[in-house]
Amino acid sequence: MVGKVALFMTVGFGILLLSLGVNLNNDATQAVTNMAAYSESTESHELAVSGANLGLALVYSDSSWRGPITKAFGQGTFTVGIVDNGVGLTMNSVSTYHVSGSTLHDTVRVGFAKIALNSFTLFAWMTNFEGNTFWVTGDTVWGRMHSNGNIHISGKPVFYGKATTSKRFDPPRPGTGVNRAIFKSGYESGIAPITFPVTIADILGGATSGGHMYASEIWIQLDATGRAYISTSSGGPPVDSLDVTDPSFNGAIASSGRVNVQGVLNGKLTIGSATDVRVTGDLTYHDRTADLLGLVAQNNVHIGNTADNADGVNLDACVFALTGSFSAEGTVNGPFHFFGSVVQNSRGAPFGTSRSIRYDDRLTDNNFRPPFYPGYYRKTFKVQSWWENYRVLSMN
Amino acid sequence: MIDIIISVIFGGMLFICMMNAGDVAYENRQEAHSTMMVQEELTSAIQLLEGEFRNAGCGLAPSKPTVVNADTSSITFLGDLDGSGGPPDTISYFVGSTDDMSSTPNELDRPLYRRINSGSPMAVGVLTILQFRYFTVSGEEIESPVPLDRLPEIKTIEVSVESQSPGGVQTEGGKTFFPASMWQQTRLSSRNSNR
Repeated sequence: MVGKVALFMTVGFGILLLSLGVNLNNDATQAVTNMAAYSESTESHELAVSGANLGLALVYSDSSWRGPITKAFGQGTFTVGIVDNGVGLTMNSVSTYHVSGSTLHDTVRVGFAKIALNSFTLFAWMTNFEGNTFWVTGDTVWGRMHSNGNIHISGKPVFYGKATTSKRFDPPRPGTGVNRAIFKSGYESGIAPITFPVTIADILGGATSGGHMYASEIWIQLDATGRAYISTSSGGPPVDSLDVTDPSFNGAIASSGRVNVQGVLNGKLTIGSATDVRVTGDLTYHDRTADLLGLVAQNNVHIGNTADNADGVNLDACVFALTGSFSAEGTVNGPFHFFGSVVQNSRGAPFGTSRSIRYDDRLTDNNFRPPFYPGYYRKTFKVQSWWENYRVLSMN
Repeated sequence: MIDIIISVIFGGMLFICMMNAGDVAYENRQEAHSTMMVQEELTSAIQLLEGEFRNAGCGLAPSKPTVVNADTSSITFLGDLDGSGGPPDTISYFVGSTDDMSSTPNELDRPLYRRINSGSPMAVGVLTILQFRYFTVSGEEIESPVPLDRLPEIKTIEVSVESQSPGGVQTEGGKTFFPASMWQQTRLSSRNSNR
């Protein structure tokens, strides 16, 4: 009897453990299968990402590279190449990953902007050289900022747009030492330099044909009605006047000598000088949503040491000083309120007892720029978009 | 006679042992299976969320903010979902109410909804916790809900997700517990935010 019971028990336990073993084995097999599927799909995806990174490296070292090339890596391959779709360039990296019984493909697609003329007005602040001037606590740049030289920081300046340098930050690592800068949109060092034009021929040429070109130092008084009065001496009678809003006027006034300017602008205008541009008093927009002024100097753009500037200066403009600086003659005793964009060869001395320098956000549109305003070409393609496929595994 | 009595006693004890062993085995098997199901559910939801967030900002001008709404348990961002170069889509993720899952024994589970543009929300997973934290490029945490003027500062997102089994497992003591899985991605960042 005991023998029979023992036999039944043994058989019973056997069946129970067999059932349990089969179920646990199924779960374990399924877990391993899931893990393998996840690993394989991740490897396939990373293979495509690797291809995209390799493609980026190739096209940055040689912008004429188009591929395609195919590389084997582990159990898979990736093929990467660039196609011109007319409005831009698209780099496709496609992986092929062989797994038991099937083949996985993943894609990374990177869109580049074609090399085109970019306006310097895209920068709130740009210099070729920062000199030995430091960005300190209280300094704020609203918009993108770039220097082809080192950017010196001591304290907690705030950069709202992306800050870039072709060299490095000093100290090099933000957040360490005296470099406590706050970068609201990030920073990047060691990027390709942005080359300044050799001359300001565009604005001088524009003023010669279709605009107004003068051969000596001039004084320009802008009027809120849209007129500009040109004199050849300070306070002298106008020798010329024009309607800035006249459709037949191309928007360029320039001189081979120094240009002095103040007033209220109504319309779109660029004032150029083969030497310096000098702001002799407040120079503002009649309507900040519609008006736009460029001040383009071969050498410097100065805030004049004049009676009108003695108690402070308001300036709405896009400033470009090709070989010099944007700086003040002497001392501006009042506040300095600036609205626009500053691009200069070397950083000028600060001016005013206090400074409010705001970027004109309309200038983030590359096509919104003062007439004949200088531009630059990037030496490398700009990545406009990065797209990766993704898959959601259907697990058993 | 004594042999029979002893046999019955031992047989009964062994039978009870076998029944207990069966119960424990079943419970363990159910727990293991539920845990695996929860992990699979979580993985699917995360792959979708992670995959779409990688493409956030694709096709958008660099000056436009990618994230248009950021709260502790919901997020809305823009991106070209299929990479076709068409206008950017508006993608929203948010959790529903526990009432939406009132048919399950688990009182904490709720659906994870995904909405594309102005379409109807579609449940893409079942979660118990969905939590977003937002960080600037320098690692500073931005308070939630993120104010409109600070949305462009979002560079990195931390996502924490917990999923529990909707059904639960009965323990020997008659209690029910719900196998759970937790997943956290601390540096979810789109390449498009670095342009």
